Amino acid sequence: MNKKIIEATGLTRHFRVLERREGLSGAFKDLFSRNYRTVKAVDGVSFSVDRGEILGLIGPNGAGKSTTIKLLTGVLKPTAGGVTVDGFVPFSDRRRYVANIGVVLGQRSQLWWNLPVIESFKVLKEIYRVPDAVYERNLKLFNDLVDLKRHYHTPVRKLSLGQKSICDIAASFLHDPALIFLDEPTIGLDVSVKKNVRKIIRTLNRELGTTIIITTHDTGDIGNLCPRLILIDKGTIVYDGPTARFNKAFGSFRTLHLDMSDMGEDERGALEGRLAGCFPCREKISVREEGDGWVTLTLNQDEVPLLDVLNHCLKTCRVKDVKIEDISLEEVIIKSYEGALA
Amino acid sequence: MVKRLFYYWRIYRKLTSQHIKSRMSFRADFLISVLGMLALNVSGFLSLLVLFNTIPSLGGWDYYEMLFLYGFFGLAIAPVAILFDKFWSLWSDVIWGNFINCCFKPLNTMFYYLSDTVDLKSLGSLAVSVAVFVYALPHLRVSWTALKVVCLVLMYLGSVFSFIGIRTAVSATAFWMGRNVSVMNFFSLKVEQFVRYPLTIFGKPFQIVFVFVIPYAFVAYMPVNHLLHSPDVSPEWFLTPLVGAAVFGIGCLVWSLGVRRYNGTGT
Repeated sequence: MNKKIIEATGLTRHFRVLERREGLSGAFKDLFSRNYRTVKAVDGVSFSVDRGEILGLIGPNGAGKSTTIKLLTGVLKPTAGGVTVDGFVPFSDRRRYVANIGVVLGQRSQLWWNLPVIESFKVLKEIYRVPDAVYERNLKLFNDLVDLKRHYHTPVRKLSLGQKSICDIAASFLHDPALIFLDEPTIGLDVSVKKNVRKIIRTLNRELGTTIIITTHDTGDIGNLCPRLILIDKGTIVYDGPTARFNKAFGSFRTLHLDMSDMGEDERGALEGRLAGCFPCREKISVREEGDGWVTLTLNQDEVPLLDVLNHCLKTCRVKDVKIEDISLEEVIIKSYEGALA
Repeated sequence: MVKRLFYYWRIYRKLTSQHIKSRMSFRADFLISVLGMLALNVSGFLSLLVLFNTIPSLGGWDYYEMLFLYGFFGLAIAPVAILFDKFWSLWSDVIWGNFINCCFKPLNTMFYYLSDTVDLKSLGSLAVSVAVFVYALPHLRVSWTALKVVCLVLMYLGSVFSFIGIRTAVSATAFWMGRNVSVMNFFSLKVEQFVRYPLTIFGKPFQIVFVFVIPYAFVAYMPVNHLLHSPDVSPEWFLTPLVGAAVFGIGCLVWSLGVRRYNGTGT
């Protein structure tokens, strides 16, 4: 068997989108003459995935993640380039191909709203022609992991978001697919459920050897699940490599949000220069206006202590509120273009 | 092929039985909707009675012939009303992106999309149609032969599939238009109301449209007219099953073009 399960070369998808005019008169004009613009949602992407791997696919909104997933799942036809997954060309062989994969789209359950969970599983068993032995084994596996039995007779509509996510993920493993796509599997879940979901994904990957592709905004998902990640921006791959290297490059970066709405715009504007003067370091502290009085600083803790910068700001500026976060994906991308991962 | 049919049938049976079970659990809602549909159809039937109390015949069709046409039409559209009800929400599933789940199952997309919904309230209409059909049947001046019965069944199937084809094509406009409620309503509330009357009472332009453009004539008028007004089975009778197969094919084609065009919404 081929060690690679996915091989994509020069995968490209362009969309023609309608450029809508503004206002009611614009909407009226749109009815008669439409002007289109081409968007390169995915633009010449090449990568491969090994069997049994968990791959994280990250990128800001509109980066091309969803389009990539749609190309890989056979929903969309590539404009150029190609991809083979487990010997199939997804778009051309759709029906036979999807029998061999599982797809969970964050907020869009594949389970039947009105059906009790166990009935949904029975229908899926019919659809994927799952042999009894496999079906029983997987149900047992799910039960050992998350005690799915509790929910067997609850209609899906009555499950909480977390329970639904867990059932949906379990359902996607039911037919022993070679490959599973999980789109934002932990979005909107609280911390303990997130942990649970990650446990299921990790365990099932290990027990069943399923290849898994996760798209996410949550860097926690990546750190906990994916040894390798691909970072996409504007339809191209910015980074494809070990998560460890990624974390080494960005793990010590922090984003400092400061509410400086009491200060004048020029006062805030002077901050960057002043910080550069007080904290000389190789990579200067970046300062960005959020537009609503908030200012975002991004700094590398290896070079300059976060607390010193914070203290400096509190002493010299009128700061109403403070938030500290990991580096945002947007900043990561800017820094990647500047060569942070080279 | 047969194996595949059984495979689909098993999935369908499982889903619909579950769906019916869950609908039945909301007993009041279920009973009221069936009764409502029954009342709606009985009132349609009564208006026909009133009409014939004032005019003894319409376009050369007498009272019982009209009723037979009415009943046949009801029977021909019943499968769509009961089993294809989810077409009405296709536009919202397309707009909100839920349709994408249909692309991830190793099944025909139309089958999978329709498979989890059965419109039980349309059973009320079906009951009225059966009653009208059976009531009118013995009063018809038709010299029955075994061949005619077989042909009637064949023509009925043709009518059913013509109607499925038209409805599929009309619904699939959602893939291009997004919200297509106005189109759906135009066909089901306006155009389809004409189809339960003899085609000959309408002007020539309408007749041409209903035969050649949107072949509604084959949903009821053509087969019933053959049965009632031609003494023997003629090749014309077989036009309805043929049109049925063709229109059904076209409907499926439009659907699959729509699915190809569909690309979900961003997530």
